[in-house]
Amino acid sequence: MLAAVRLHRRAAFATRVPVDGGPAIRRDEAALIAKVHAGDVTAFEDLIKPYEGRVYQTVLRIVQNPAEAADVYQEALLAAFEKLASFEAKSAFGTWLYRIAVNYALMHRRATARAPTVLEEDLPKFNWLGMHVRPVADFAESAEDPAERSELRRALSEALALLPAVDRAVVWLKDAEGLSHEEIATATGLTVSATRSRLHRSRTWLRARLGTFAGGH
Amino acid sequence: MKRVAGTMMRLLGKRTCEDVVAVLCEYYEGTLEPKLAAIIEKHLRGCADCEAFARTYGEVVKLTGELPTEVIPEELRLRVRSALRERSASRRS
Repeated sequence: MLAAVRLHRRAAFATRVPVDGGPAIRRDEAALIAKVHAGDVTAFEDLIKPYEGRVYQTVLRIVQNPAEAADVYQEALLAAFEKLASFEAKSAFGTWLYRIAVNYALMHRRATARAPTVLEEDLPKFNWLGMHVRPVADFAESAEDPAERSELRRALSEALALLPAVDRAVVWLKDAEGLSHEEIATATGLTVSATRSRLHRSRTWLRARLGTFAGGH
Repeated sequence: MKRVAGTMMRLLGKRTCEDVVAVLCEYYEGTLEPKLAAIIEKHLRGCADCEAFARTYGEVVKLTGELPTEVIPEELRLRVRSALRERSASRRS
């Protein structure tokens, strides 16, 4: 692959559905779920422990306000506790938990947020031959300098906050959390095709914002 | 006009810059059909703008993965545990 950039991914935590379509859930999680059904709430605490940090982080990225994110996170975990009886192990437990948390976070954003700022004019433009109409800023070299890279991260974080909540969730789940498109579709309620489309559009827009930040397009 | 130009390019086994940008996601994931991936790579080698675009597109992905994460506050963990136990107790009563 030309100029291959290894995609930096945190280890995806959701286990994969086996090819034979068998249970997606790990044996230790299945045992804990059985204990929760039997009334053991500490088993639920053990069940969520591997996921709580990253689920919280995802909720925080979507909701953006720490105090509100804390409330949403708590509501989501209580909902997961209540709904555990309906968990059928068709998806990995982590993905299922993400779905509940992302859903609560997006509902909260829909109820409270102002309209996001995503300008079509920031997206790449092409002439009648399909060629770029503006020179493309190449900030990859400056990104090699640690201080400039830190500034780019800051600018990216600010730009991420301007995306619509759903698009922000898709980008975060894919590029920060390392979920697959299928897992993101399950977590967000979108189709796989829609997650791909939103991801690409959002990345393209974020690239343009960083290009402008770095002094180009 | 753009559609005609694009179609002619594709018939010649080429792709426009717009075509390349449209498939960048699949290109980086390595899920493009090999013949198409080869055409994209050939375009990238010959187009400075697209090469810059592809490189910086990849940087956006890497940078997102490097964004700092907030550790879940201990106070929140304890608050959630307390709420879970309360909810569990109220279900039993």
